[in-house]
Amino acid sequence: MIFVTVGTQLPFDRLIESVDLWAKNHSEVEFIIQSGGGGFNPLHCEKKEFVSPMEWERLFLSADLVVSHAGMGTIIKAIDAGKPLIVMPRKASLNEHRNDHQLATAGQLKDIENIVVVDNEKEFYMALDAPPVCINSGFGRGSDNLCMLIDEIKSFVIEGDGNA
Amino acid sequence: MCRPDKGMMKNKKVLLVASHGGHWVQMRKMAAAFDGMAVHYVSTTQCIDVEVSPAPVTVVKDANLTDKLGLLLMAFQVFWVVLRFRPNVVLSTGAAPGFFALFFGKMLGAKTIWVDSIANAEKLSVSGAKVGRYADLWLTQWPHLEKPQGPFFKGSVL
Repeated sequence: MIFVTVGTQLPFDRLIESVDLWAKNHSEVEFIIQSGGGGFNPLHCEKKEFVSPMEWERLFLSADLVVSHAGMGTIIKAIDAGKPLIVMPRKASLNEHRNDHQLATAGQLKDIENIVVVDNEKEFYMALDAPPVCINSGFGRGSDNLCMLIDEIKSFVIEGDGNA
Repeated sequence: MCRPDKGMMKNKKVLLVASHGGHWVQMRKMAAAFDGMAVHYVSTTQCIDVEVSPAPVTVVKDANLTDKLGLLLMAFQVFWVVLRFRPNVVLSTGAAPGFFALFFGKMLGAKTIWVDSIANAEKLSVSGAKVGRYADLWLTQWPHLEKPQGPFFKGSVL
């Protein structure tokens, strides 16, 4: 199953239309789309506008491949789980978001093995034909960075308590 | 490995505030910093209850700058939580509810921490830029966004 998820803030019909077109020619693949609203109704995929976080987690974990916008929630979960992920950033020029921060975010993902970033429909279809593979990460890349952050927060919280 | 807890973090009340989605996922990764403390969450959807149970969750209205009335209501809701819970520490990754939580938290004497979302790789979020003066610890997750007067880079969730 391929799980397509675009967050809850804004629809992303460009991505969903592309998915549906590909699904039309690949009836052997099951698609579940979390669409975040939007007017487009796919003919070849199951669409849910919104799902609960628990349902989202279930769909995410049971998917063979995940397709999403460049939202950090999905990206972090994919890194943590080593889940294959295709990311298509939203573009402000197409009114898909308020600004182009998703392009910037996506630009930082190039070294992550299980994530492929695509810019347009053509690249997206290429990625679907040869999707990224699952990696056995267990924990996120660069967990040193997370420890550093947590240690900084801890130190700051106990700072000035006298017994630190 | 992260540094072990030295057992001096008890008896602190911590308010962790994030909109749901990416902000929430990032903040949850930082929650390990508050092990053993009394943590109260604030977010914008009830559904996350299950994930953090038995820690309490307060749900506030989801709104941004385009919805002034919604923002006002949210600010009041956040103020009410801060007033009742009286946290020693307030931390947020964004967005608007976190801004208000730090603002009111600072006013009522809490230590305040802002960790700007890693999604903001080119410049700080709107809330993140405005919140600097109310954040005792003001962080970005990108080294190239660090500035001498803050925000500072001290690690990231990735």
